[in-house]
Amino acid sequence: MVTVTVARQHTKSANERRTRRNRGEDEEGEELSTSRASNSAAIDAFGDYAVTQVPKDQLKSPFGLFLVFTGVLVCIAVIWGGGSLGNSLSFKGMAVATVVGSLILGVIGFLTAAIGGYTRASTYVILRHPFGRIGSMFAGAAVSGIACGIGWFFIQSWLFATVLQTIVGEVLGHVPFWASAPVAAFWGAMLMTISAAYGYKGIAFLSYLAVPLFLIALGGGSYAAITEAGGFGAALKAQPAGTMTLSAAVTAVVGMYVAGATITPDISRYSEKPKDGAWAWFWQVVLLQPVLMLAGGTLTLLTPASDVAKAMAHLGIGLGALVLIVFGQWTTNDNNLYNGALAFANTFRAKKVRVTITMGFIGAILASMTAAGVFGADPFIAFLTQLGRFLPPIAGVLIADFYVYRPLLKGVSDPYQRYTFGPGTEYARYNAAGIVAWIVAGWLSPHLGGITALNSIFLGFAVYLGVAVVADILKVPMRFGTYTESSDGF
Amino acid sequence: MTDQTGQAEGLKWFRSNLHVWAFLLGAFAVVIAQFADKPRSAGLYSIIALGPVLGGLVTLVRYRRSDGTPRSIGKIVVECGWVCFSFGLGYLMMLPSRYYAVQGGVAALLILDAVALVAVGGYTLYKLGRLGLSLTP
Repeated sequence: MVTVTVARQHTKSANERRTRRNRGEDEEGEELSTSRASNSAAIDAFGDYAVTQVPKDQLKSPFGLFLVFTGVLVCIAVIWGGGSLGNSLSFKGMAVATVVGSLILGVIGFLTAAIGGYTRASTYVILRHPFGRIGSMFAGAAVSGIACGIGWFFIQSWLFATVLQTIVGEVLGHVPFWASAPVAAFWGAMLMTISAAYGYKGIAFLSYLAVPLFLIALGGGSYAAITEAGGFGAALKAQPAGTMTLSAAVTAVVGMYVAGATITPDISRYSEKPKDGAWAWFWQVVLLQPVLMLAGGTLTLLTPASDVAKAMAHLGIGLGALVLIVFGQWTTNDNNLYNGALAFANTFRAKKVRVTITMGFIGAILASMTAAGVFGADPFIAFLTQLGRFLPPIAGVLIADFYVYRPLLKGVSDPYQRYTFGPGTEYARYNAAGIVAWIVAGWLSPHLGGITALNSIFLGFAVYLGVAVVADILKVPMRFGTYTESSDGF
Repeated sequence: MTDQTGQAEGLKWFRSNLHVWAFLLGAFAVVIAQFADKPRSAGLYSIIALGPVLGGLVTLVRYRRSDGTPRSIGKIVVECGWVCFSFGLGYLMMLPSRYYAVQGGVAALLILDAVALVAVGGYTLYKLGRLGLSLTP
C-alpha cells in the first residue's frame, strides 16, 4: 500500500515537473532560460525540433509567423482558384464567398494553431495523444508525409515549371533550355528543397524576402490586368458565364486551403505567446486570401483567362510576373516539403534534413518526368485529392480532444497541461477513438452533401467525442499498449 | 557569436537611426512619385513607399514597448532591416516595367532611393548577422 502511494506521488510529481517544463518554468515556478527548458525536455537529435518541443529561445515574433503563413498562402494556384469562381459568380458573389470561406478557415486554423502555440510541438507530435504513438506515425505519414511532402510537392513543382516556361516564352520571345519545363521542374524543386532543408529558419528567411515582393507584384499586376480588361467598374457590372450556388463557392474556398488550416501547428509551434501564431494565421487568411482570389476571379469575369502572370507579361511587367511565379510557388512548396518531412521524422528515426533532401530529390525527378510527358499528372492529382479527404478530420479530432474532451470531460483546465511531452512520457500505442474518428470522417464526408471539408472536420469532432465519451461511460478501453518517449524525443 | 555587451554596442547605431532612415527614404519616395507623369505610376510607387514609412513608425512604437534587452531590440531592428531591403527590391522590380514606367529624372531618383533602401536594409542584416542575432526573428 505504501509502495503504491509512493509510486503515485512519484508519478504525480513527475507529471508536475513535465507540466512546468511545458510552460518553461523551473521547480520554483520561475521562468527558465529557454535552453534549459528544452534541454531538460529532450535532445533535438533529428534537427529543427522535429520530434521535440521548440525551446523558448527559438520562438519567433508574430510578424515573422505572419509572413511565413502568408508565404504558404500566396501562390499561383490560389489565384487560379479565384479564377474558377469568376466563371460562375458575379463580383459581389465572389466577394461574399471568399470572405465567408476565409473566415471559416481563419477560425479552424486559429483553433489548431493555438494548440501548436501551447504545446510548441508539430502537428504529428501532438497527434501522439489523440491517435496514440503508432497512430500518429501512420496518420502523419499518410496525410502529410506522402500527400504534402511527395505528392503535392511534385505537382506544384511541375506547375511551377509549366507556368515559368510560358511566361519566359512571353517575355523573351523564345524558351531557353533552362526555362524548358522538364529542366525548370528539376531545378525549381531543388531550389525549394534547399530552403525546406534549413527548416523553419530557411522558410522564414525566404518569406521575409519574398512575401513583400510577391504582394507588390500581385497588387501592381492585378491592377494593371484588371484595368486593361475593362476596369473595376466593368467588373462590378459583369455577369458570369455560368452559375454556382454560394454554398458551392464557399465549399471551393474552404476546400482549397483546409489542409493548411489543419497543420498550422507546424508553424505556430514557434509562437512567442501561445496565441501569436493563431492570430497570425487568422489575419493572413482573412485579409489576404480574399484579395488573391478576387484578383483571379475579377480577371476571369472580364476576360476568358484568369492568368494574372500571363497578363502581366503581356503588359510589360515581365520581372513582376517572374517574381509572382518563382517566389509564389517557392514559398508555398517548400512548406509542403517541410510539413512532409516533419511528419516522416515522427514516423522514421531519421535526421529531418536527410528526409527533406531525399523527398525533394524524388519530387524533382517526378516533376521533371511529368513535365517531359513521361506520365500525366491527373492520376496523381486524383489520388492526392482522395487522400486529402483524410487531412481535415485530423483538425476535428484535435479540436475535440484539446478544447472539449480534456478540459470539460477530463477536468484538465490548464491548456499547458492537456498535452505533455518529453523523455519518459508514456503514450498509448493506439488511441482507437482518434483513429476511428479519423477514418470514419474521411470516408463518410464526401457522401453527406454540403461542404465536404467542413463535413469531415465536424464528423471528426463529433465521432471522436462520441466514441471517447461512450467508451468512458461503458469503461471500454480505447487506449492500447504503451509507448515511452526516448531521450531524443522519438 | 558576440556576447550581450558586444551586441548592445553593435546595435546602438541601428537602434537610433534605422527607423529614421526607413521613414525618410519612404517619405522621399512618396514625394518623388508625385512627379510621375502617369497617375497609376504615382499611385503604385507611393503605395510601395508605405512599407518603409510604416515600418519606420511601427519600429519606433515597438522600441518603446520592448524590454530593452539586446535580443528584443535586435529582433525589432532585423525586421525593420528586412522591410527596407525587400521594399527597396520591390521598387527595382517594378521600375523597369512598361506599364508603370516613369520619365527619366523621376526614375533616376526612385532608383537611387530604392538602392539606398536595399543598401541600408542589406547592411543592417549583414551587421546583425555578424553580431550573432537571428535574421529570422
